[in-house]
Amino acid sequence: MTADGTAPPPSGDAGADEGEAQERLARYIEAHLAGQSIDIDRLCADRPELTPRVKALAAAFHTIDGAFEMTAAGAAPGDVPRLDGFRIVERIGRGGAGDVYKVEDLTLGRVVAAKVLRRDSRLAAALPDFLREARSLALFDDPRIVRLLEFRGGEPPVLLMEYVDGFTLSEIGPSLEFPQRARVVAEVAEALHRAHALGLQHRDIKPANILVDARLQPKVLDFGISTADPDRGHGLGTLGYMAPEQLDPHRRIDARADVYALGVILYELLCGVRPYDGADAAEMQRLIRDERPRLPVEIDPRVPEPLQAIALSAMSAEPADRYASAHEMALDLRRYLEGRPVVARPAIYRSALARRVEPHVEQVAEWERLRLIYPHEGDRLRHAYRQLQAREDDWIVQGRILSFPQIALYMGAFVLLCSSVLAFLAYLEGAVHGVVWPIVALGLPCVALHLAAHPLYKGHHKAAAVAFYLGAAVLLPSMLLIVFREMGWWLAAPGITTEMFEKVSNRQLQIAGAISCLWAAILAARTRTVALASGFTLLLVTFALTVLGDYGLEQWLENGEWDRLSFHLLPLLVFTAALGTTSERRNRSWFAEPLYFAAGALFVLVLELLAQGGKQLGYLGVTLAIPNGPDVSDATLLDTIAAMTANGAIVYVAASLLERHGTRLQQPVASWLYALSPFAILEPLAYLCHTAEYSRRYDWIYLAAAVTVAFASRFRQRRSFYYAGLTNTALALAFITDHYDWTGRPAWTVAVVLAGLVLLGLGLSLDRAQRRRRAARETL
Amino acid sequence: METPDSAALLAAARAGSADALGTLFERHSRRLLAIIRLRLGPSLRAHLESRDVLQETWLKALGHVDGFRGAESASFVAWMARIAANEIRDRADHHGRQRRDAGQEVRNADLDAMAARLRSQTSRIALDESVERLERALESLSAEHREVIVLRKLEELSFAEVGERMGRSPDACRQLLARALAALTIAMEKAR
Repeated sequence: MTADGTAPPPSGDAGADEGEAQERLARYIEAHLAGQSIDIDRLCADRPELTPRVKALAAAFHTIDGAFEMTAAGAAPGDVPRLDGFRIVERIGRGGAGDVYKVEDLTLGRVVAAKVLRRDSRLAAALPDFLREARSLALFDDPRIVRLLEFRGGEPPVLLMEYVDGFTLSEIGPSLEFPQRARVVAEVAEALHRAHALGLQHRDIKPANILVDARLQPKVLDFGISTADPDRGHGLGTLGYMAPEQLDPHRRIDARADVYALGVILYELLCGVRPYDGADAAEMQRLIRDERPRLPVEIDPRVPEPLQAIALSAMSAEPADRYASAHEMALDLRRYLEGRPVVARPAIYRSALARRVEPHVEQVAEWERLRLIYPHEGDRLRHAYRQLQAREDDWIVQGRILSFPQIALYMGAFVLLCSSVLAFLAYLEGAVHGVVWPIVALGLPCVALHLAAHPLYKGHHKAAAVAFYLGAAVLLPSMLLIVFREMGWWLAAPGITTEMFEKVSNRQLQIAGAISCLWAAILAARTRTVALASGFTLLLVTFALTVLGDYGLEQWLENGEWDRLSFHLLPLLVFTAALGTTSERRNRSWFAEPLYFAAGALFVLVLELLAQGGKQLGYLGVTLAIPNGPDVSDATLLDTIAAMTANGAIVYVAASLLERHGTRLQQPVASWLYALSPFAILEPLAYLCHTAEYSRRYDWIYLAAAVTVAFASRFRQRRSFYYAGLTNTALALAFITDHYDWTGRPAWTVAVVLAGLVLLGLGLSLDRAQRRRRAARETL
Repeated sequence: METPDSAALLAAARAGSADALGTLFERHSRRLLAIIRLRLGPSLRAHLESRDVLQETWLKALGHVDGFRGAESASFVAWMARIAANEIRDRADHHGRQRRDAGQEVRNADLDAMAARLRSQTSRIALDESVERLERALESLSAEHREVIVLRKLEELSFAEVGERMGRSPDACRQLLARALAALTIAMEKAR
């Protein structure tokens, strides 16, 4: 482009030359259209006298051409502004409301950028916006935001800004190293944070609006559509960098829209392509709203994972999932640059994994259908895949990874639980008095933990926040109890015999329990974690026990009235199971899981308590007690053992029913009951054999039961049965050896050897039978 | 860069964003008005009000937001120019009794609200002297020269698309445009 033709030289050529000049101009224009630059002096080398005329025409052409381009037609060439004291070098850009020219300050001899309000923009009341941009820029004194030098409110209005000699980020980005790219984005994020702090959102941040100078110092341009109004500006900006909320006029836009755009910029810098690439605008909008981007490392394996995590976190579809501010994003980028771990953990990782896991789960079903795998293997695979869908920041029991922070956090919460119990015991011992001590020792940490957990939860330390909440929740009951007692609230009425403790009344226990329980429920609902839901479940059971205190829990324990306790636990069992089911129906899986486990444990407890003292068989009118056995100290022991063994079988039946008819979240409980049932069957027998009184008669039954259980493992493919069978077989052999005093009898050893051989032979013959059957089936 | 923005704005405008409509209108209306005036030519301009055509073009565009996706060109202005050209043809065919019902079909309650906004905005577009000078200069050119400038510089079609419409190769179009622009430069200078 010729820069010297701004002042038209006097035209004094004859009319005959005019056609020739027009011809040269056409050639000049043609080269310009083809993207080439052509020297007019050379173009007119054969007719040097034409040179000034062609140069003047070329200048006029550029003005007209520029007018076409920048003022969207209809505008006259006169639209290239005249600025007193400045020479316009060239138009270098086009913003929302105005065009940007590179101009030379004729007085100071320096080059500056001039943004001139476009004529057509003036029609639609863009002037206030233009003024606002001027005022906004005037607020900044940041090397990373283009500096405003002067505002001229003439006709047309002009913003004079510093001229940045550099490339746009889109041009230079691909040639930078990853850390350099991270640094540039961090600088831009900090600059935008400054703008946000001054109440201004850029709303159109993109690589083309970021200039990078030779020292790789970025400068943010074009605050043309910037605003802080959350209800305006939908649909404005550049589609590729627009956040989903900018596309929906019903949603509010805040500073996190800029964070989103920064995420897209980083994404594009990392892997060279934009996250969404629709064939047209409508598809782009759909992609931005509904789709999730591919992971940058999928596109370019060299992309550092921390940077990918930062980009994806920043461009989360939900503003709440993004960094809360551009500053936080900058901090995370700095962390990467300093070699420290970043905090970003994009929400998309989970959905990306879930999406990838889904086809595998379908595959498992297909393998099962084709009989390639057994149903129990299918179950196990599905369970393993489901584990992958667990939340990574979930508590240690469910987390996908064990890490030192996790270990320390939950150990901390556990030690606080211990301290809570210790504090209460110390109080019962009479070691402390007054309300000050519990408030200082328990209350202050409890409040402090809550206060600390709140910002942690809002920020990116959810796992830590959950552990903090857990620690705080376990401190609460002890503190409440001691305070209640010291304040003399809800003291026990004299003469009541059902009080469980001397120091604290049942009512105090119940109220403290109810408050803690409620609080844990609130925390669990807020954090949606199994950890706090488990805390809630534990407190719920404790609270229920304190309520049972009113019904005489202490007497039952003292007098061995286990059946009463068992019956009184039934409502709790029903309640936990019902609450678990309700939670699962309402999609609160984190609430349902611990409740189901509690219900499962209570179920076993209720059965086993009922069996104590031979009561269970007693209710059925059966007894195995030997009428006149003088050598027996506990006449009901046989009944108890029989009932417990039977209960083991009941647990097994319950587990298989639950496995077949239970919901997805009940399956872990079914597995747990399955694992428990063989031991529930065998261990009472072991106890019976252990007591010398009955030993000889039942050793052999125990052995037979152990072997039977081991073989029974085949039926539901339960390895726990096999292991229980093996260990109890060994135990039974040891009991027999001991009771008959056969330690020194070689015959016994030989008999055991023979038994082993017989089993091996049995195995071989069973295997051959199986092969024969299979061969017979194949020949059919 | 500009094209997807315009499409996004169009969709947002259709979804009810007054801001988007305002920006879109602001961005393209002067150019469209120029195209419409050139397409009407001096004779039809006497009978038809170009602003009415412009307003109707916007309403039709809003009624057919999806149509832009299916349009053969990526240029938003070209798409709008097509709609405008159809509108001009309809009006020229029935000139005297203006046919409004075609536009009426696609309207609904929110389009009516937009129509009111558009009317007030359309009336605010001022045609200053410089625009008229360019218009006169363009009209003094040969039809071929005028067409290539309108298609390439106003409707922003690619050379390939211009070639398709004018039945020439893209290279020939570039040459033609160069000559047309040279002629325009001379014509503008004469008018000064």
